[in-house]
Amino acid sequence: MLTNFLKKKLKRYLVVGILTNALFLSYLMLVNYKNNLEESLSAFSRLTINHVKIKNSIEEMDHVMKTINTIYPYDNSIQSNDALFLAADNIRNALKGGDITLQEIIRDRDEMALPVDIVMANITYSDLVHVIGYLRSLVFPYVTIENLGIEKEGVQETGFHIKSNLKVLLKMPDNMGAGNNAMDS
Amino acid sequence: MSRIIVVSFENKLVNVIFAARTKKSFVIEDLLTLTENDFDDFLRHEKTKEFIVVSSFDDFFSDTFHIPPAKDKFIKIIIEKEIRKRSRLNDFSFIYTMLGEVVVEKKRMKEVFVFAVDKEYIRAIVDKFKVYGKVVKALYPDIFAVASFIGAGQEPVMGVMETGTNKNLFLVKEDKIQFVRIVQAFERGIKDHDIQNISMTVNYCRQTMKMNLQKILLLGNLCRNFDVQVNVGIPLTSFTHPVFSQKIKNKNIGPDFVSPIAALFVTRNLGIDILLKEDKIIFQTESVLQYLMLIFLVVMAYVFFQLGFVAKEVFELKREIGSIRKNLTGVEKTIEKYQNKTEEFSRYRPFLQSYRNYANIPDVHRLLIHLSDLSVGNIKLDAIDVSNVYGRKVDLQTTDEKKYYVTLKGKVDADQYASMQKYYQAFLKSVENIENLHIAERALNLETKSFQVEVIY
Repeated sequence: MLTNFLKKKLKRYLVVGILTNALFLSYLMLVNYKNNLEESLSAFSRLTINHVKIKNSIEEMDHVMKTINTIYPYDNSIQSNDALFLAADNIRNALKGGDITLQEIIRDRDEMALPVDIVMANITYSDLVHVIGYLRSLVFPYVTIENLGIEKEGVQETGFHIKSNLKVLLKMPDNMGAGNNAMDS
Repeated sequence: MSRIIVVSFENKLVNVIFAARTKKSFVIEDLLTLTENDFDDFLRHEKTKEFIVVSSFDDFFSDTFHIPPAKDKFIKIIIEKEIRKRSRLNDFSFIYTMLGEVVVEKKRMKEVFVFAVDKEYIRAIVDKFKVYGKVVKALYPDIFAVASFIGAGQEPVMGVMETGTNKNLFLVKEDKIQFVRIVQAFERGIKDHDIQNISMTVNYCRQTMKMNLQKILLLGNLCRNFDVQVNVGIPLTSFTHPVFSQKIKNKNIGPDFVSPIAALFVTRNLGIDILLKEDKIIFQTESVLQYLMLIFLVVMAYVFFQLGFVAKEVFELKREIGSIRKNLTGVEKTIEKYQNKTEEFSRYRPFLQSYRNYANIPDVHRLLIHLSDLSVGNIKLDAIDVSNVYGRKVDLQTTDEKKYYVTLKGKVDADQYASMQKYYQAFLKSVENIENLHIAERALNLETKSFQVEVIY
């Protein structure tokens, strides 16, 4: 009687206990699965953002390369040192009457630089402003002014005339050839 | 309010009360009187699991004797041995009340009243419940339940109850039974014959037990079944209680259910539960298991509820991830394209760097335009010198920036010092107004009227 009394009930309690444990385990597993899904979602969200960022980067690189191709004035057969001398020729042609002296090409960090001394006598201040504006407009190679000396020469019919000593550097990237190839592709 | 069911076995009948606990008492919700056969059906259909049981035992052993003083844990063993000696019982369950200390033959002894019942009788009662999986919370002998209920104080009181036609006489002092006697009778109710027996018992109490009774209480149906011509000499009253005046189906409960009602008021510390030890263990285990099951069920319900929530969240997450994955087609292609583009772009980096260098150079062209706009007035500029700032000792806050060092030389066309100073200051102010330009050094020679202003651009 004693054991039968408990036996009958124990079975029921055991079933309820097992069911509770099974349910609780399922709950834990599901919570774990949910946590993993949340991590995955977070990773996918990051991936989506990065995907957009990568696409934007590609577009930006394309844009920069196109811009450089547009503003680079020479064809791909021109080496950087040649480009420097071509630019010097262009400057000489533009500054009629100016006295231009070229020095040896030097390397400044990743760039090649051609020192150019320009002496312009008997010009007006306005002429000088135009010349400096022209030099400023050059991009490849670009011009850095190391020194500009302006002295008053005298007064003529057109106004005050000046003498200008200009020391500039014409600068280009050092690996010109590689750049050309890149732009060619 | 939890529902309490008390079952009282009284001769061939079973009285059942359904009660609910209130703050200080109980409310009787229903009453039943069943035959023993009907009682099985009642247990089969009743959903309540726990019962308090009261029984009037036809066959029991009761006695008052003395035992030597001993530690509490040994007292029960001593009493059990004494019962075995004094009764014909072998396998029994008992309860006892310590009546006090007495001196017997110059020895201090403890006076004990014992009540013992053969385990067979107890098992017969408890098994009725076990068959239907019910739990017996406690089993009280009816006279003990009633004795604690009638509220006897210092003055001893005699209670008279009826079982069948027999009359149970018991002496109560301070809620403790001192003595029990069963008197056989041929009729139900209190008759002259019973009064004679009561008188004899009263005399016994007075002479042997040295107790003067203050009153005799008639209990149960004896309250209204009373046909007596003789006088006992002690007040004879019917016991009543506020619970008796509660109404069930417009009828007063009355004193007939005194045993089960008394059982409601029994407190655990009275020690009148005669249930077998093994049964107590089983029922306690059963109660623990029931509570555990209840906890499990609550946990199950909670977990099930949570499971639903989490499952919903999982479903949402999966849907969201699916939707993102759909939109993420071509990631590998994009990465491959990015790698190719980066490689291609690396060849453009020197150009980009050159372009940045170009953009960082201060605009000398703009500077010259600004200088041409200077308000010179009586100032005559003779020379301008623009030099790259590197190599010069100039206090620059941002030496990384490309700067130009500009020297302006000239003369002030004025005869008076004051006007010279005035024109010079106007010139300086005009210079200072030029954007991105600030004066580093300045000097005016009043004798030669020449000046030199050095500015950083």
